[in-house]
Amino acid sequence: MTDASAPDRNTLDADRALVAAVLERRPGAFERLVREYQRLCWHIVDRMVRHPEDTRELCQEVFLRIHRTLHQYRGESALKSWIAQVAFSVATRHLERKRLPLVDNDGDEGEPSLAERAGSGFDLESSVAGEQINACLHAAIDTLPPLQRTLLALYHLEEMPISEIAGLTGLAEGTIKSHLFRSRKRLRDLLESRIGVPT
Amino acid sequence: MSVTEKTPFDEAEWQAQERALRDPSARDIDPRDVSYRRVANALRSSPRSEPPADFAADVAKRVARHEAGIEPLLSRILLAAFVVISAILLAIYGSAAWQALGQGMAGGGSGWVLAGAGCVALSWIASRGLGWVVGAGGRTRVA
Repeated sequence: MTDASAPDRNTLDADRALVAAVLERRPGAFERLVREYQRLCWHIVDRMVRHPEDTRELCQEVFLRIHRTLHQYRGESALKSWIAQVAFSVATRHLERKRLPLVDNDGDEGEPSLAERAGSGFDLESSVAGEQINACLHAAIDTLPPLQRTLLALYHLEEMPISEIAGLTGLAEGTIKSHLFRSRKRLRDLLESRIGVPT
Repeated sequence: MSVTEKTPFDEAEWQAQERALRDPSARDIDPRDVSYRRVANALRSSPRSEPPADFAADVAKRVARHEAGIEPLLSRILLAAFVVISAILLAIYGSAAWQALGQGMAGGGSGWVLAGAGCVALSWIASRGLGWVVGAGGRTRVA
């Protein structure tokens, strides 16, 4: 993973050709565009909202917006980044409308710790095998606030460089690093509090 | 979205996190690396839900329905009605309107006409300029 987020020429050419086909209303072109980027959009929205029906509805909204505003795409950056940006923005607005917090402050008094939140119904002490550790950590990741959960997914699963994440979320690179750092540290603390410091 | 000060950023620990992410098979030299390797592994294998198989076709159908729907048709009907009504009004009141306009201009109304034209020109320039700035990166915040 490097921070060179500039798309290569082939990607841009392919994006421009696809956009031109959609704007010329060639049969099947828009469906091809959706098919190409639906997974990325779905992953971002799903990480943010964690609700299957809302995810489907919001992803449809993302692509309808993309279709309405596609004439504004100038082909100077990857279509993927633009779609990810719209997906993130739509999901963020949805959470704001529902008054759900995007982030929380770890260590706040009165807030349940990650271990407490992730620990309900799962005994990590008695399940130290790799898969079970993963299952517990996955449960813990799900209890992270939407923004931190999404940043982890973009960085670790989508393998996006921090500069690209900054572009699509509108956050400063330092802020993203800080969120990644804190989230991973919290997951490590949870792990070590349950199974002890590794040898 | 402020960043809390309660967990200060530690560069050495950040490097341990990055080592665990980038080089999972490296020989462990720091106990932190082992824990972070497990965290990185969990993050990498984090389950992801996938869009339903019919999602793309559904969205494309929705767009096609919208394009073939009543809105574009209504827009065309309204535009046609506007053109026809304008032509009728021009035919009936055209000469009288020109006379009134000429009198108004002569009576000091030209200042208002110029101000109006100036506003339209400024709006147009601003929208062109904004479009250039926003679209310069090839991306536009549409949402």
